[in-house]
Amino acid sequence: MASTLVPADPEAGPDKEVTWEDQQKLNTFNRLNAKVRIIAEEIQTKKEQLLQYKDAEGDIMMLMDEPVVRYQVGEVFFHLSDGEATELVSKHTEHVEQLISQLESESENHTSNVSLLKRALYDKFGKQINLDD
Amino acid sequence: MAAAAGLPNANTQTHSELPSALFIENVDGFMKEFGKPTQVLLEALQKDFSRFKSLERRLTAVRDMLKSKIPEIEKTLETIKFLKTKKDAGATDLSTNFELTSGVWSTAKISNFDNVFLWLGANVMVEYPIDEAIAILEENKSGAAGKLTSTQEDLDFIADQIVITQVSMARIHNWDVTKRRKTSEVS
Repeated sequence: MASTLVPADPEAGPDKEVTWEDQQKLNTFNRLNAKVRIIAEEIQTKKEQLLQYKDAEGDIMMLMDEPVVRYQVGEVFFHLSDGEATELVSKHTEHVEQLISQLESESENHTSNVSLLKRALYDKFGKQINLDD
Repeated sequence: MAAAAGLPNANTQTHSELPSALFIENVDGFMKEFGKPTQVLLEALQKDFSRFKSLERRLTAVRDMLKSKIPEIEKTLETIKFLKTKKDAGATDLSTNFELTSGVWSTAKISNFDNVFLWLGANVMVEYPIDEAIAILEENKSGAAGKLTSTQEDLDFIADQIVITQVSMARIHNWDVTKRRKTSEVS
């Protein structure tokens, strides 16, 4: 937000005063943008995890006739039956999908608040501020 | 800190021991009362900005450390809880492949589901009944989560102070430019 307030324009009138309420809007705008960025990273990580679980689902099916499925929990591979492994992988998949959906709705919420704040700030300050990267 | 230098500060935000930034309600009135050259105030605010940025860096490092610690604890908990479900299902033994040394794996048979050994750090390992181990790790996890929340709150506060300082600096700079222009127009 280095260039939030643009340099004074000789043609424009005097700068509008920034009230404490305006400042808090700017602060919140900044905070929410940062949160959206962080959530996007987390969603990316979770999506990669989900892909791993989906691949694992496929691999487990291919091991149907094997006596043992080696399923990683933590740092080790437990020897499981394919029934157990299938159950475990679908539990994990569901869990990650749920987390992703939670994060996405959180992000959507923040993004819509950011839009509202942006509009309110541009309404008051017009060319005096720049809220776009 | 400009904010602390006895200057009237319209910033009503406070947060634990952290410093607050200078917020100005009315620039014209403030600068008249301040009485000193604009440059003096701008330099003080620049110092504030640097200080807030360095606090931000420190807090971000703490937050990122905690953020990576929690999944580690969760991984450990998941493993122990898995043993517990096996125990509750009446399992007598469970085979695993574990890393004997880097790049070399071997097989182990777990037959004791009653106890686990927790590494407490400082070359100390303690044996715990499985339920107690789970309780300890859950406590560690919630402790870390609590610290993460409070660190994030500190970070949010500092982020606010940074924005306030930037806005104050821009407004004072613009006020100064406008004033100089008026002065040069008159003369």
